[in-house]
Amino acid sequence: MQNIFDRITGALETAVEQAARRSARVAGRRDALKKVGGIFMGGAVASSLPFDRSFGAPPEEINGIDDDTACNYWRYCAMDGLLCTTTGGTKTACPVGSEASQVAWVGTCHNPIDEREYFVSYYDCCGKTPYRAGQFCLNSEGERPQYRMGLSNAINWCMANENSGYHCTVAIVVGEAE
Amino acid sequence: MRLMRSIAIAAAAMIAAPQAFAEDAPLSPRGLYILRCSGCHQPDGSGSIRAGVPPFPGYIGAFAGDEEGRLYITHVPGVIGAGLDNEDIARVLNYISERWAEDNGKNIRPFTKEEIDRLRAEPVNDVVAFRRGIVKRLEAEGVPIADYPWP
Repeated sequence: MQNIFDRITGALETAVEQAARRSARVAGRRDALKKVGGIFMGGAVASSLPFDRSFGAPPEEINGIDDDTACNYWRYCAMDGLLCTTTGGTKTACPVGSEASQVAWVGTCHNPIDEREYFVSYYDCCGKTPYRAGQFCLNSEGERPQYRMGLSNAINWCMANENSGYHCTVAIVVGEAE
Repeated sequence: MRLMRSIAIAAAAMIAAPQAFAEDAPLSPRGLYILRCSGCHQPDGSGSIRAGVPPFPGYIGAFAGDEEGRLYITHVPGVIGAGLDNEDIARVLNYISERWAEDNGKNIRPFTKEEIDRLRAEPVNDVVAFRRGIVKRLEAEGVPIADYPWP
């Protein structure tokens, strides 16, 4: 996992990286309480593939573009899955015990803070069962049916990993769309 | 209700195209690569052997510099399924060659839309078998070939 993310983050443009770090500083502490609360509340886990990532629950909307635990956070415009920010990880790192998928999907998201477009790479985190209490999001901007697999985000990208169980999804900015 | 996600790894790795979504403005070749190719091939072109995605650095020149290899490239399912027109396929292939082939691809003949038109019209019934034949010939010539799960 570390190698993949190291390589990807190495491609970040300076401005994007700085913005991401600012955002992480703002959101990190606030999220900690939510994560701890989730652990104490307990969460039944669902496993096995094929499966429905929504677990029957409709995606929730939370206001605020700076909240990376919310589905309308700008990086999540093409997100289909559980936010790793709500399952023990961050928006760019898988939770302990899971590893990044070998392959990913990439979308273009508009950052309302600087009004620019960025490429966002969505990696699934694999090897742990899904955390049911995590925030599920379904933002399929530009998605196409699965017969156009390359344009569908409804894929378990953990399929190429040794442990193909899906846990959550991270959103990594890989550059400005140009 | 979401669709099932169970897809055989072998089939997926062959088809697993880079993911791409909304795009309105024309993208640079680098942008096309990131949006349409990097999901599988990774931003640094390193790919994933386990996922059946061979690395580009040090290897792409073997195929891009070979006539049969160029025909193979244009029939790779991920290339065909990326949703790019032939002009953009040529642009992104040239970007890949210039970035990862030896000597920045200066010994690789640039791809053109016309060549992609012609190569895609040429039938390749079994792309894996076709690749196998190319690899056998290139290896006999001592050309380094990336690892691939379907040798």
